[in-house]
Amino acid sequence: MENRKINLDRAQISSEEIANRQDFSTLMNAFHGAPKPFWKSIWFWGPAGVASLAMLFLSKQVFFNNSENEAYDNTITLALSDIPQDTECIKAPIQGIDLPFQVERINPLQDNLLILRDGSQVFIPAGSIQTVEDGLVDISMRTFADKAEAFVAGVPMDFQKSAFESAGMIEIRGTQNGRTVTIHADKPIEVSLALTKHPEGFDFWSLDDTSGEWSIYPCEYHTPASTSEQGSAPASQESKEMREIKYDLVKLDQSIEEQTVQLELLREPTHEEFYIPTNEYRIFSLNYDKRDFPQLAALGNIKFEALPKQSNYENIFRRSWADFTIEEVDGQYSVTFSDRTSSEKINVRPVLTGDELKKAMTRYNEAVGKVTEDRIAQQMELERVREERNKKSKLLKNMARQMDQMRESGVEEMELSASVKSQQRSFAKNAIAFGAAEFRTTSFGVFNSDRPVGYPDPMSEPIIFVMAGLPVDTKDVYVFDMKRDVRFTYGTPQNPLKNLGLSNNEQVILVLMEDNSVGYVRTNKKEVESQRNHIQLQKIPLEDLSSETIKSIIHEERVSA
Amino acid sequence: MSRVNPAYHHSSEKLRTELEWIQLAKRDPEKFAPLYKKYHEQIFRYIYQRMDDQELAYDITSQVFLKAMKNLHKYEYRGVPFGSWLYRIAKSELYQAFRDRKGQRSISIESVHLSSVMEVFKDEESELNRKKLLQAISELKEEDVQLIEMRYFEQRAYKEIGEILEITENNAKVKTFRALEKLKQLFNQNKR
Repeated sequence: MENRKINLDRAQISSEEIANRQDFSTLMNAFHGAPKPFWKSIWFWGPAGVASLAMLFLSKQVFFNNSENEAYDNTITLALSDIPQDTECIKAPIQGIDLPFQVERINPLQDNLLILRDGSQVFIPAGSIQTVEDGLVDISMRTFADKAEAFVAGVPMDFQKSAFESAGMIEIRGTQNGRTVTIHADKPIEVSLALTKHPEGFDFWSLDDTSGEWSIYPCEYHTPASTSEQGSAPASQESKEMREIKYDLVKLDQSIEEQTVQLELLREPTHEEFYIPTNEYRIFSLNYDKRDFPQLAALGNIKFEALPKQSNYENIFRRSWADFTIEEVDGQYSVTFSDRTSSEKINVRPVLTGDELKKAMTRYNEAVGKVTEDRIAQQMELERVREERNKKSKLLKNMARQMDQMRESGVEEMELSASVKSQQRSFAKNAIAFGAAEFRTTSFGVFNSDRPVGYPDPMSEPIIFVMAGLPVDTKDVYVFDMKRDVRFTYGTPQNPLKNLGLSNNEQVILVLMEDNSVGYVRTNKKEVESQRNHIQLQKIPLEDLSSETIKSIIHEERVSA
Repeated sequence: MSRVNPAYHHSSEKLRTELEWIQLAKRDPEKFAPLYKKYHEQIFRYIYQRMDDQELAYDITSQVFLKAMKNLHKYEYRGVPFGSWLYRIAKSELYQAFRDRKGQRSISIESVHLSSVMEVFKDEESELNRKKLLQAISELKEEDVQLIEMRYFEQRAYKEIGEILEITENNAKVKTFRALEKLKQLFNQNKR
């Protein structure tokens, strides 16, 4: 017999009494004061950490001594020849002709301000470039002054069913010893892109190098007009902190949007997915031929549940039927009961029974638990981001208010922080004809101030290109609309040659032939139609093919100063 | 006997709310408070049901929650109330206390529960029979007492018993039936 006592009808303790003994704060104190395992204590990690640091220091001394002695040369090395390999979607259309990059060799451990020929600036804060090894980094940059340069470089300028008219575009890449480097997620580089047109009506975009698709990218336009405005805190007078907060707000908004979508996508599993019955009064057995429905047989012992909202259900099961057939269409099952005189069809779904049902219930519960856990985690993260956004938004408003007050009191110049002044100096050089697009980025790529222009309607009859009196096999056709300042590209999967359309504006048509020769013509829709859609091309001699030739043919008048 | 233990039977909505509390508590221990509030009485009663020392029962209850908080990161939702997990910790802490000789195992029975068992045995409810039944209970092995205790004295569902003892619901039914058979056997022996 076990050593235990039996209490018969012991006095009950009331719920109130037990509740009075609840003491969560003592529990929390005990939780926080609970001794840590030895390996988590400072007595373990103190000596171990010191020893590890010492080892690291020694190994760095031994193995990296040479590199430390090397003084970094922060002098900018200008080069116009080194061109990083084109990305998947940026391919110069004419072989051997490309728009050169301006390459600057920088010490990534120091702040670097790089100035391009057109006045655009790239500021690379110390430590923003992530490299695999120590040493200098090459930053390759090129701006595109007009549609001719964008064409020569092969930058895709299509967006959905439109072509882009650009007010300024820049490409920035980083490499170290030929290997691509990246930008630290917490330390974006800052770019001030000199615009070639007034940016009114132009959005700002970044190019996905792989897909060739453009997407809207946050930027601030700083035009001469806007900097002279006396409204609240002109953008050019914003402190660096304010610009950072604005950038963060854009990023946080994107994050909120993404997380909201993800939250909506977190759908709870249904009983149907797990073959769990939902209404026991609508379940019935059918002795079906398992050979005809191996997918049902694979589920084990199943029954069928009639789907809800079927008025004939009661009628079907009130009587006996001579025969039945099961049909399956796209995973949806229906059963037709029949006898000599009539037939009735009902939609059903297979449901599990016995042990299989129990297992399914367990799997279902686990799936519900998983989704619930994910959803809660997602909601909490969303809440955190929203809170962060609110805080930053309030901070920004306060800073703008303070700046307005300072300006009103006429002490603006004296009181502005050093960072504001340096920022003003840094970007003052961009106070050129059309101002600048200023943005920050944590990834290299192409950034563009653009507005989409719709493609013209296809010609009613197909166009026949002729050179030296003979029809030619065209590969790609580029139509440069002089008035609309845009390039339409044909010969791509999105825009096959049969879609070629022209307008009555003056246009330069540049044609790449299958044999890689290039022809061109300056014309308009009326002229082409008058020649029964025959276009006579003028061949560009191979020896004359150069970037400058192409640009002179397109006869682009540079808009920028 | 067919009374439902409402503290155990949770709607899916309640289970979800509870899961939310758990997720919050995993990130911030302060958020454990609602779980503590909800289960404190149940766990205390479970422990005190099995021992005499009321203060020790409160101490062990605190230990159970402390242990739960420390190990909350290991907790995985399996579609059953959080309480089942707490009961398992409580059982472990309780038997540790017995092993450490901090408390003595006791069985608390209400007369009404004895009557229920007598009903099951289809035997006459007399003072003599009650004494014999108590004698039989005290002679049962611990694992059988646990089952009888949970099913007949605490009115727990077989599913819950299974979860506390980490066995299936069916197994809980079978084991409880066998424990009852043994009790009946001992009871009948004592009658002779």
